[in-house]
Amino acid sequence: MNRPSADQPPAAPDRLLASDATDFERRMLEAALQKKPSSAASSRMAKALGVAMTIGTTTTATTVAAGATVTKVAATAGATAAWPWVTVGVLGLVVGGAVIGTRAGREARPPQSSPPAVTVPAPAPPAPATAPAKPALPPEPPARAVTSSPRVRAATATSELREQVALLDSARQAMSDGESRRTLEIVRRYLDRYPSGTFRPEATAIQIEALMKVGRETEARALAERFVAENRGSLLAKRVADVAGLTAR
Amino acid sequence: MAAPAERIPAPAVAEVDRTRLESIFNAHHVSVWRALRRRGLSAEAAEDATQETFVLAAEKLDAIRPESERSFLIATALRVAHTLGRKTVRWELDEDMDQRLSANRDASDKRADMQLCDLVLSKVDPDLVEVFVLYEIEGLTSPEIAELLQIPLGSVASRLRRAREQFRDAAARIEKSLQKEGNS
Repeated sequence: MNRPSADQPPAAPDRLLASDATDFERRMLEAALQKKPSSAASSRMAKALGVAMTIGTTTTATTVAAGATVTKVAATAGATAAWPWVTVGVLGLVVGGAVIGTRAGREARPPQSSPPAVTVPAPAPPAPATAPAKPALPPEPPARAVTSSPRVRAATATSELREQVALLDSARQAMSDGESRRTLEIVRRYLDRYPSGTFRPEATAIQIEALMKVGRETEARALAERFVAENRGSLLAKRVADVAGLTAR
Repeated sequence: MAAPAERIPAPAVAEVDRTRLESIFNAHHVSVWRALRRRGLSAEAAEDATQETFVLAAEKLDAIRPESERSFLIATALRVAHTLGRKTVRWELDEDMDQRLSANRDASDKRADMQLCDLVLSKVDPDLVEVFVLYEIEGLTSPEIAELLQIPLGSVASRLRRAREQFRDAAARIEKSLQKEGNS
């Protein structure tokens, strides 16, 4: 939440717990704070997010091993030289991508009626130190299949964004690898699938650069002119104008 | 003088701040889960929605001010709940629950208190209880609640005042009822 000010208004009343609550009211309010997810549920959430979880303050801190997500994020960050700004805004989504996978794994497991109170999974095997040089075309998004289950319908709001980011990352990677035709194929897939996609401008910008690289300059410039007109003043418009040999205004 | 657009300065590539994500997860996931449960989600659905909330937070870590983490997360959680089509629901406790509660109290005070609290809150108007919970239990400030629920600050104050009255009335009635049962 981006609020201009976090100041509390002077008229804000004292909280009941800090003022004149009766003993019974106090008991009720304190009890409300005791409602919490089970330790097993907290562990599952932490694991899905790839973060370590400290369980309680009265017991030994327990760490849930993070998956390979960090490595994946780092590798992605390192591979964005050509179109860094495309990834900057959405890098965090890659983290989210791991959630679907982890969650899908959870879905695949047979239901456990009574998980242990504190389950500390074995540490994940070390992730490869380097990302594959040439990732395959993104597979059909797993989230689509996963969302058919009501259990994971909560993922729907962001799963599409993750799919978009995955496609865009693939396009950028292909561009970095000098595979312009493959880049175009991925971008076309993105634009077909997400005609109003969040990252359509970024995808179009990549498309224009790829078109220039494969020698389809007339097509690239026509696209670039339209892009610059529609995105006047944006960093991407300047970049596109530069790439297509236009003058950005 | 027109500056040539030769080089676009790329924003600094920020490493995903996993430490911060970890920190806010540990600090706030219980509050987030609780907020989702109060929105009527099952424990299982609340778990999924809590994950979604932190995924969304991970995307915007840089934009979340440290002092606004909790309100950001709860606001996000409520949006996630909204996308699930859930509405705020009253706690569905009936008269039988009062009986069970009184029987439970001796055996497990803590658990009984939680159920009692649900019972008291169920007596508060659904339109008011959210403000009450966010302010009195989750510790959000009035401006945070105003922004979160997209209502004027004055409405927060008035809803809170009315919610408090109803909460205190309900608590007094239930306390009295428990005392009566204890004496009988």
